[in-house]
Amino acid sequence: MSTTYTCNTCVQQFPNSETQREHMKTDWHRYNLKRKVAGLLPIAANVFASKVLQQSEAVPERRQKQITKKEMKYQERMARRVVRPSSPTESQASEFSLGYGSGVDTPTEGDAIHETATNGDESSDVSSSLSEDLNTKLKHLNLDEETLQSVKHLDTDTINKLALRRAIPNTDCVVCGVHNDSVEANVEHMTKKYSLYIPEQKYLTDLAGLMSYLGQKVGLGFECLSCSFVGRSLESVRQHMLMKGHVRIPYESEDEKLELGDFYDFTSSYDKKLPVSDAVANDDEDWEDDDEEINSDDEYDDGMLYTDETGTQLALPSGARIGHRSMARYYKQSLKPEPRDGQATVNAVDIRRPDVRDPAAFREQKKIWKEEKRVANRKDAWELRRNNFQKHYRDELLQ
Amino acid sequence: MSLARSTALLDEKNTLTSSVTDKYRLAGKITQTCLQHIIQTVLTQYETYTVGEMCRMGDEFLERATTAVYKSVAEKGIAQPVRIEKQEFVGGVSPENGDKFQGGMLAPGDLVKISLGVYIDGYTAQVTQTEVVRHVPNTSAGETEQPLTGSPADAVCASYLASEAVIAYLAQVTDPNPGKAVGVVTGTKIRELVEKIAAAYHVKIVPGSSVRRIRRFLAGQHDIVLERDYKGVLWEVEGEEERALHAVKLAESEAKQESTEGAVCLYEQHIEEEENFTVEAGEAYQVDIQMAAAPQKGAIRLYDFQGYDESGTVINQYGRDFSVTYGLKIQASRKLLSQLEATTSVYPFKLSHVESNVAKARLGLGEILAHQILVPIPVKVAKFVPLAALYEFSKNSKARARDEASKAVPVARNSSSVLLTNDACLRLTGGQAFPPPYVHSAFELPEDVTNLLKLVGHKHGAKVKDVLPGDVDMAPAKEAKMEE
Repeated sequence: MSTTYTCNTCVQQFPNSETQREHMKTDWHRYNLKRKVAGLLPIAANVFASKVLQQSEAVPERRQKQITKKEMKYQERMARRVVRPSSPTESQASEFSLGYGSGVDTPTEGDAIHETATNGDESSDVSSSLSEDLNTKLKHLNLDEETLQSVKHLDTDTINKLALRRAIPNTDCVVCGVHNDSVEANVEHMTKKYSLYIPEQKYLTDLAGLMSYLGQKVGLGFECLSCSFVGRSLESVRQHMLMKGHVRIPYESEDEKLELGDFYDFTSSYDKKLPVSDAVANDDEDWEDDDEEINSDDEYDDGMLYTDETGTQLALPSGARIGHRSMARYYKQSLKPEPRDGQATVNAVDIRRPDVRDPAAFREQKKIWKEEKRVANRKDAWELRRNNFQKHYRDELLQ
Repeated sequence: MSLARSTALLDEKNTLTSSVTDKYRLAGKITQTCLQHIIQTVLTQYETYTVGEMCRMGDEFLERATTAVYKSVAEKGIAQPVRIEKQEFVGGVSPENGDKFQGGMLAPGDLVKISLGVYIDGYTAQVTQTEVVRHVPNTSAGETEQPLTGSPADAVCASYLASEAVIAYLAQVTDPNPGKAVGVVTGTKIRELVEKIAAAYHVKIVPGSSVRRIRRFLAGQHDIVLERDYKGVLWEVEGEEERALHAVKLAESEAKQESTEGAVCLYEQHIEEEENFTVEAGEAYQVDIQMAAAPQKGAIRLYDFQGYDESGTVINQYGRDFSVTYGLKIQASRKLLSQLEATTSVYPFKLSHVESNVAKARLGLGEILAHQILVPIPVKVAKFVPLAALYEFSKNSKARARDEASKAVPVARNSSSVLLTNDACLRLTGGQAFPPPYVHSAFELPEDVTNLLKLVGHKHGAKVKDVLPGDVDMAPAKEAKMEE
């Protein structure tokens, strides 16, 4: 009985256990194990060798000291401790981004995670010598003197941290970092892949600006698009957005709308004569639809949004009128329609109807009725008195 | 309703401005044209078509003609569905398709009364013309046309001449020198005039005859409404009987040589008070005179026609009573009422004009009739009651004996609408386009009435202008709905 020594991961056979054990220790086997875990087929030894060769050629000088996760965390913690008291969290970060060659002209190629990793390498490399680091960093950031003064008090960790941050250009996907040809293509990609919805597209005037803003928010601030979450790194915020489904632009509350206000222009929806104030226009639930109010011979031109003098009626460009809720009870009542001329004429002359009576004659008639009633009452009272004609009380039962 | 609106409806809209006169004139023209067609059909094709078919043909004509004119006006249409009444029938004969009673067969020698009317924006023109059905004489065989004679001929003459005389009398208001020829035109004198002519021809005035002012939407179309500011002379059934009996009582008292001081006829008092109105220029009048042959003393009573098989009152037309409001309980009734609101106005109508499926409409009719929202206008027949029977009835109140003594009599009727404008009397309906039928009466007109008739058309006197029948625009015919 011959025993065979195999490696199922790499699909190999070995004559004895020693060779098998040797095999298990090779990088090739480890690589195939990782592939197996990832659900991929194993690769042959020669293929692996060529891959290794390729990799070593591509990044020979970058193979330097790997920064550990622990160290990264520590650095970030330190950076936060310094940054918080002076509260330059978001605005300062974006200020730096502006000085940083605007980020747009340095499109990131390939894997974003890989890129940040290399950035991290760079900074950790420089952090060994402080003074040199600061100078080169600031030179790199290309800041003017004034900003330099404000930045001076920040310690090196913060600088490092800031150097990690880079605004995502508006042609790159905010979530996966894929580069697209144009801003529109980028929006389309994000819409298709992550169901990103851009609100009020009719009034959107600056799409590129909006996309740049989103890129800055994620790339510089590590901030989630839709909630107040701030990630520790770009990866964390991207993962957060993907996991929570937060790849969306919130557009509900007043603040959220104002945040994006710069990219929009709503003036085309205002009336020239009597513009509806923002508060009224946004206060949708206080208006009730009221189609009956449509009036063709109105003094206003159609196709405008305006309110009437009393401010209780809003006219839409479609011609429909919307009444205010405070008037709801009047709109809700269903009045009997005014009779047509024929019926109205007949009603006006028909003396059987009480409302056609001559008012003067009716008053006279009422006087007569009153007098008749009075006389009748007096007669009744008199007869009542007369009914008791017995002089002395006599009990009927005793008779 | 506000006073302002009622004043506008009753006063302002009734001023005879040019636009109002135009509407009246057009209504008159449509009416005249339809009447001409129907008279032609009745006289030449009475053997081909039944009375009901001719009525429905006339209705369709009126419907199409009124649809085509005054597109902006909402309220226009048939003011009186075409009625063709032979002999003793006096009201409401306009049978629906499928009814058992189709108006009876027309025979030579019958008096036929054709009534119809049209309103445009409430301005109404109504007409009634009496014709005599006769054989078309075969001239090649040497036959000559023979006039109708006897008591029906008297009735025809009396009604025609009375209506002409009343119109001539009314026209005096438009005389350039008003009051010169006949004095002030009053209701009392109109009554005297008509009764004089009736007496001269030995005929009785049929109750329901009237000479009344018409206003917008108020054209005496039915007697449901009790009108304020009513101007008119009306012959009523009970009143006429009361007068006849009062005359008997007076004669009795005279025979017993008692004083007649205390005996007062209430009806005559009522007439004196109510009919003492003055006719003025700027008003419109409907002159509607009906006469029935009455060989002896007595009165004319109107009875509901029960059908030839005595199956029950025949009702072809209905009128709406707007003073009644009632929440209907039955779904079909509510549906019918909403259809009524949409399609009808204050005028009489036939059910087929509201709902093409008459059987369906009758489903909801019961509750509506029970609560008097609609008032039926039954088919009536005129019967002559001898004075003896009336007298008996006044003593013992036995109605059956009176009714058995009554006898159906042929009725002649002439009705026209006239406008008394400031310069001339505009006769909307009837007139020279419709000469009276060929009849001979043994009696003659009193001289003063002849003089009155001569006043019209005098060089310096009042003028009567006729609206003549002509071409009218017609809307395309409605396609008949297919019944499943």
